[in-house]
Amino acid sequence: MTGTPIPTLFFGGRDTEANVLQFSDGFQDNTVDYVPLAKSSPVAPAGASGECEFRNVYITITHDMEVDIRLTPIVDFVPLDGTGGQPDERLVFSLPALGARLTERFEMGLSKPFPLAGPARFRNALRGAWFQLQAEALSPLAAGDLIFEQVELQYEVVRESLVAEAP
Amino acid sequence: MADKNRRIINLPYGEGLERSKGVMVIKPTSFEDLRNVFLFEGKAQARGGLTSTAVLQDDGPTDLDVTVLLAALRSEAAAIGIGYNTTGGANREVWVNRMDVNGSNPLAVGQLGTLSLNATFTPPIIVGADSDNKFFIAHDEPFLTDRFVTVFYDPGQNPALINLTADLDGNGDAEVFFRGVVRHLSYIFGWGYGNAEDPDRGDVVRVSDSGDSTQFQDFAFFEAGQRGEPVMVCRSAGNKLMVFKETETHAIFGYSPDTFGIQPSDTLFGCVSSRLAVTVGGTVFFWSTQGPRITTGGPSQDIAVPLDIEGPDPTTLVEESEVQDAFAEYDPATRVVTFVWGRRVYALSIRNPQRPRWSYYELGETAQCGGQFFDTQSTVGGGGAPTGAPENLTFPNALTTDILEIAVNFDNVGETGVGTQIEVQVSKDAGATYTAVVTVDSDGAATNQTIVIQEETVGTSIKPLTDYKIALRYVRGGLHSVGYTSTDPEDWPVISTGSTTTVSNAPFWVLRTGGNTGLWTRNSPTVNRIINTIVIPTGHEFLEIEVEVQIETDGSPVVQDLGDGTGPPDTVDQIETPFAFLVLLDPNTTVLDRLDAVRNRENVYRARFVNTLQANTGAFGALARSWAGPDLPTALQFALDSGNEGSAFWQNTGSPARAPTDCPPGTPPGSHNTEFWVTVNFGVWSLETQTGPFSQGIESFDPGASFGDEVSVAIRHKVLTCSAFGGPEPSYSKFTTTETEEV
Repeated sequence: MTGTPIPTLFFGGRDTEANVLQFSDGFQDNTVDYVPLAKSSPVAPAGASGECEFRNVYITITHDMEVDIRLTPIVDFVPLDGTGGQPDERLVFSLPALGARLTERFEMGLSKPFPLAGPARFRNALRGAWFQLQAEALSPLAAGDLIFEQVELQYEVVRESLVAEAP
Repeated sequence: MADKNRRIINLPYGEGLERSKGVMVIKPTSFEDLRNVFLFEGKAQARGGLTSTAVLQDDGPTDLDVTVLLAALRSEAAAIGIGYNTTGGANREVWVNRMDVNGSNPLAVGQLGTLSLNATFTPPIIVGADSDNKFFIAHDEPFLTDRFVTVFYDPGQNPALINLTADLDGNGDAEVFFRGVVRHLSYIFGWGYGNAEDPDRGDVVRVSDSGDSTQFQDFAFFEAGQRGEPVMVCRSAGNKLMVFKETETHAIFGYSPDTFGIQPSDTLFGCVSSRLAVTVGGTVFFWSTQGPRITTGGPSQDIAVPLDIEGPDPTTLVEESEVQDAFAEYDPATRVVTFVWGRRVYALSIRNPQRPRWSYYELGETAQCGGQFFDTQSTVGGGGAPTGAPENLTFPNALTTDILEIAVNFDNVGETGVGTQIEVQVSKDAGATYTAVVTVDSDGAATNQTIVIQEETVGTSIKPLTDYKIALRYVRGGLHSVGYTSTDPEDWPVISTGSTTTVSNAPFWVLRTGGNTGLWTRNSPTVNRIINTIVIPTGHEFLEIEVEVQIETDGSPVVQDLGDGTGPPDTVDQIETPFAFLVLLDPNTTVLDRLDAVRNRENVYRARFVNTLQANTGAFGALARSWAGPDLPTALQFALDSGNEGSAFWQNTGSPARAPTDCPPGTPPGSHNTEFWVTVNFGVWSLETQTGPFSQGIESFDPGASFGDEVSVAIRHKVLTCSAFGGPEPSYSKFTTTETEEV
């Protein structure tokens, strides 16, 4: 890092008192937590009329921040977060505090319980046309950096879309 | 063994939001929702937080409630913050603070005003710009009657907030009411104000002089588009100044009054509020009626499409503020342009200018304003508050003749920084209420700087024989040293305070012809009246006058019969009764009229001013000598002839010439005679003769002397009491000086 002084951005507050708030400093907004979040656009690897089995997600993160990360798979625009009758297939993992930035890859297996009554003894791969992934850091954040580098989606095509006729 | 059927899709972060495209055409690497991250090429980093470095204050100091402006004062490596109060007795007050560039140590340097109850925007929308080592402050209020006058903060002045005035209509200087100000090239541009005769001109943009940003000429203005449609904001785009109205944009080109001009730049898009535009590297990012756009001086380009601002917001995304409270800023550390709408921020990462990328920030605290602070090294003002204090006060000289003043000598201890001034506060009558009387430059000397407080020079009331308390402190740019920030000097360290009492010159007397100061009359056998006239110097009008009197005899060498019934000759000391208190005259008294003068004596008066409130007395002045009797003869001439006969001549001046003086009006006068006394060889004096009224000489008398003897003569007037008083006691003048001749 250079020692050149960089102009610093400040915001003026209005919620409680006339705060002078230095931006990009610390990991709370004047004692209030905030959540970094990234929700990808939907992809349909086999086309809108096709079907895939979504097997794994590999997310690459660079960090030295101690923080919990939660990944939520979204299939056919429905988040698998335990709401709306959907299974909770979110993955939460913890990143430790580090003395220097470290880039790591984390794997998330994609599956859901076999849809039979009783204890879940079997799991199926996620199947559908569309897939999205929402990655978020759970508050509270801590000192350090948190950088989302890349998501790699691994899938198998079950059924390709039919080729459309030329209009 | 690899699974040949498995495939992968890479979804690198950093592509940014894309909410406008349909799912069939959208790029897989774009994002439907990105919050609290800023974007690099291929990665997204969690943004940093907001750390409170200070709370803006009024002069109490009491914390204010809303921060309405933050900006840099680059020339002093300082920052300006403006706060608004929403509570208590100071409700709606707007205060200007100066801060360090790290956002700490805010100190109130002045009050912008109290927001009108009818103001359109609450909290007020304040727009500022630094230029020429000053900071200009304008109030973006649509209605002129509710708008604050435009002011500028000048760190070199005290008070540091100065109303901007200019003669914009040829009728003399008048206050200026801009809706906004911005610096461009070497000028300050202000908009939204015509002149005192035609003030409500929202379409007018004025430009200052180049060498002095506080000077505006009546001819130096531009009319931007349709009259009546106000300019919202102006921002630099390279060497052009973009003038944004709500639905159109104009560009002021040129670099000097000779080359300036204005032309339409974008006839479709403008900026929707006074703070939703920011310049980054010659490009203006602004918020139009169709969302954010950019311009580099020409027609603007749309950058709003990926946000799909007309579409539904992402689920749970925090609400926007009102448009007038929104603002645009640039964060150089992350290279992100932020359009801040309260807690919602549209963040545009421009690390790759060719591919700007959007994300959202959700702030934990509502932001009302923003600004960049510059930690520059090239300052002119020394930066920040002074660090020392004037100490060891002494008062070497509290009066020079006829000039009332207080001289304060002190040491400059720990004083650092260019532009430090010394504020002098004075409390009269040793009370607790101080007044700031003058601010002077520090001479930088470690010891013995002297400030002279003169009534004539500082316009304050410096009175004689009055107790004053003096308190000094440093001030630079409206800031004060630690321990000296209170507005009450009683709170300052005692080492910077002191007290003194002004001294006084004395009242003096009007001198009459003949040497007497007073005018004697005899009003009865027992009443002798002497009237003296007093002159009161300037500045002493409120003081009482204490008068003392001393009684003296003639002091003549003539052994005399003073007519006191003890028979001649009397031998008395010259001072019969030493000075003693006589009377205390009211302030502004100019006549000493005494009916208790001692007859045939020198009644000697002396006077001095007295401050009875504080028991302070001045010096006695010259004496007023008044003989309680007629004036003496003058011009005595004495001669002896060869036959030892003498002759003498004199003149009658003063009271004998004006006779009668010793009788009541309308009564027969008394008679003025002249006694002629003689002695031989400095022996016993004897009364040779008494001449008649108004006589002026004795042509021949025999002193009884022999050859070689020395004959001395002296004369005095004698006034017999007029018949109306019925008393026998005469009044005498002093003796003349002795004249001596040798036979």
